[in-house]
Amino acid sequence: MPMQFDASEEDLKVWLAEADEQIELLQNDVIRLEKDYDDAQLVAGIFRAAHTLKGSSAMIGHARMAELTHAMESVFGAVRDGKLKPTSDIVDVILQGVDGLNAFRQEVVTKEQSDVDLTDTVNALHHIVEEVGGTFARMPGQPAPAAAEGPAAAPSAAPAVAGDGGILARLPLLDDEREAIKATVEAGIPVWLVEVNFKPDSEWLAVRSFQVLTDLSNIAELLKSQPTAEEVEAEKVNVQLMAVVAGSDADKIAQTVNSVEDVALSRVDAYLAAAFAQAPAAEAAKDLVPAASQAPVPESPKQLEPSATKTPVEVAARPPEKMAQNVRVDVERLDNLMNLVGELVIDRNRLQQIALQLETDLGVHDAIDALNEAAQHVGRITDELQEEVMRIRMQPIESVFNKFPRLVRDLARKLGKSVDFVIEGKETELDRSVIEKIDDPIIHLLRNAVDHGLEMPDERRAAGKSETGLIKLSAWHEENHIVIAVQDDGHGIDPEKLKASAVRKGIITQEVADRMDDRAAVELIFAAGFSTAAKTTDVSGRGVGMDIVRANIEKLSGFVTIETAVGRGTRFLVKLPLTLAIIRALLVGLGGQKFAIPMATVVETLRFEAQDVRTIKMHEAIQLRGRILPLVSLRELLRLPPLLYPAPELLLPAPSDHASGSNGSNGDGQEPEGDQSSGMEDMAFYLARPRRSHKMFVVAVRLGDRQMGLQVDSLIGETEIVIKPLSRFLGDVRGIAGVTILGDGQVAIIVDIPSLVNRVMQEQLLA
Amino acid sequence: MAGELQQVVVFDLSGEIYALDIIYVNEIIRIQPVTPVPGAADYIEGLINLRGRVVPVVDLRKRFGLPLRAIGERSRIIVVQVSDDIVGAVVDAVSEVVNVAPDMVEPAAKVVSGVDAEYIRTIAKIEGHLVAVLNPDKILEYTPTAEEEVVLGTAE
Repeated sequence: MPMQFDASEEDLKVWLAEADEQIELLQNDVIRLEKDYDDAQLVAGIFRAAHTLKGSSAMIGHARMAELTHAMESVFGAVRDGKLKPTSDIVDVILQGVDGLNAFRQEVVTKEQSDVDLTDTVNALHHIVEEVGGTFARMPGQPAPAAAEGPAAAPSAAPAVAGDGGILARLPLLDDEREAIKATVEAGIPVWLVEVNFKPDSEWLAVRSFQVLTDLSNIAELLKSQPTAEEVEAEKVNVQLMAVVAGSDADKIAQTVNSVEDVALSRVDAYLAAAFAQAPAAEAAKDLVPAASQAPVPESPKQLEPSATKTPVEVAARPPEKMAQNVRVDVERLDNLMNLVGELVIDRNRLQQIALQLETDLGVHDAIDALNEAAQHVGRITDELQEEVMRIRMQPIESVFNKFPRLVRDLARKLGKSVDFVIEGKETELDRSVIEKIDDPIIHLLRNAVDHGLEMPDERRAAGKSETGLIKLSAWHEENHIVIAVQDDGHGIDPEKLKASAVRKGIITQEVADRMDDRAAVELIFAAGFSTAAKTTDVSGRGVGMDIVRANIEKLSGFVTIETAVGRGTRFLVKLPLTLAIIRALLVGLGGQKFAIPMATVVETLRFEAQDVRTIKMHEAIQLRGRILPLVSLRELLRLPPLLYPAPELLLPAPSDHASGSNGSNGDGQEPEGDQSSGMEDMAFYLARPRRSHKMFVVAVRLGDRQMGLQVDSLIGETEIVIKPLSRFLGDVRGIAGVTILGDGQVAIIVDIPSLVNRVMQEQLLA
Repeated sequence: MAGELQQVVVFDLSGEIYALDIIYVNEIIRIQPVTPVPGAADYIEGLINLRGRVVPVVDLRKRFGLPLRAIGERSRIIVVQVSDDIVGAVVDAVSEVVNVAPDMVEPAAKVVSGVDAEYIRTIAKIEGHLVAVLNPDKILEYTPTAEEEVVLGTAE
């Protein structure tokens, strides 16, 4: 069913951005309620988020959302007031509510009403509050309360200082209004003058004004306001709002008003008979300065805390808050910027190459010097620009980590396990491109830890551990990498069991298993089609194995290692580059084609004589500083035919048939048009002169905690490259991490060494 | 489609005439060196650098199973774009751009030449000849066949 909202598209965008913030806060903080319900700040934050959502969803006319947030707010209110202790069951209900909020939020995006029905949840929330004898704050539109708080708090208090822009000066009353107020005061009901100043940069003043008015009428009787409720509806609003209300007390009013988002400063004065008496026409006249500019902006809000007498009350809305000089930028723009910088990096490389070429070809020349200088300058600026853009794109990993407490909690509850989940280092920053992609692997590792890593409480007790298992998720920087660790104190991985299971599943033979050391055995967990749990649960046994986790991490140019001790626990370490957009790579040549290998996997480059190669257990290897480095040819990994190599001039006419064997001086022999018989196959590849070179070039690469030597035809050098994705059109080509444009304009393939090597190793394991 | 004048680029593939609606054609460029992609399907010639954008080049003759001819003077790459996807297509020659009146166009189902029917959108009558107007979505679609799966190493 299509839905309509009382807001323009633009406003809905703002609404969504803000709703996201509040929902995220709820998501992150609600589960902390179980443990930290006495943390006043936490509860206040949660309450405020629900409250803000309530107001803004009512504003756009999302009734179901408003109803839900209202119910949630009441529960949070009860917690805040110490009436309610949030048990796990209660938190479950609240979390249902949070899920509902997400669904409702989605409705605003799609403009389609979902079939989500939260009546039960809302009722359950109501019930929770009623149980503890709480009552609901009324929804807007419900009858106002008898507002008699007694006159105790009122007129005797200090008078509003005349001349400092007393509120009445800017809120002229009509005669009948004055009469009404007079009557109210005489009836012993305190009347308050409320002034609210919003942050000047608040994007949605109308909503805020609406919230303030709604909230005020919830606790007191709204006698007059400027702008009026009708004006607010029509979005005729200002950064300042003034109101006259009857009932309640100054503290409560201040607190209520300040709990609204974007309130910078508020002030509550008692309406005094005296002020009333000298109807302030004259004062109004001399006080025509625009209200907004006059509103005091506190340097240090502390000084403005309510005074002992509490009246007038002038309170800064929020804890110390410096005027943030932030600009919100669309993520897409940031990505574009990064792409542009990427292009610039390519051109910088190109410029430097041209200058170098000219120097080699033409020797010393003033113009070349000048070009060189300019190229270097462009280079420097590009470097700085790149660094700056990268910095802008850096985000704390928090946004990812914050999703996990809920995940771990729900999972543990489902499995009947008790888990203490600890997060460390969530302020660690890394590039957006990485942040977007690390969710899945971490989720999987966490699920694995809860499901397979930790024992059931009774097993833990029997093993002399505390019943509550510990799962620690941490992140830190290490050189140009970020390391993310998922650690549990469960039963660890038993290599023998793993081997037995792998043999049973036909992943390795018994013979291979017998030869395998513990370390290699533990790595079996990453073999395709492996799952350590005796039974598959709906939690982690959904067909996605650790092999996929490893593959995904390696796709990000990262790697994952395991540390485990039987009976003590397991730690998975994921190491990732800080960014995926621009990386350093080693260029190598295979035939005429250049390939890029990400430096993250490169340990060193080596030059060997052909006779240094040994054959060990049917595999080629070389000895390097007393170690054996297994060798594999990059050609083989890429399934390029040996001795044949693809010509860079693939589409140019190839040597005609008779030439392909004998006339192989080089591949550039242009053949006149008309030789229609030679097929494309012949053009794609042609025979290289058999090269009896004794030198061979090897790139030592890191794969997990092992190393391997990649044999290549030539080593070209190290350079910075901008990763571009392989066109969707090519499908999922294995072993290719992306493509890049080199300084000379050539397109080069970025090889995904781990996935290539894993494939070979798996084939060898099976063999 | 029907009711509007259509402009098509007419080109030659292994001696047969085909056409492509001009709104999908970004530009027509000369043959240039490509970087082969190891492990990609055989009709993928490789990648070219088109002013900073890496564009895959497909050989339509291989894709359609037509006999191959050597690349000649008149060979071109037609750069085709559908929404955000750009692909270059190698053709033997580009002859002209012509206007096709709506009544000169028929749905493809009736007449099908050597090319798999799904690649053809309509048949247009151009200067007395029936010309297959290709379906650009289909050209840009990635559909691994059993054979390609082997090439891609997913069917091992």
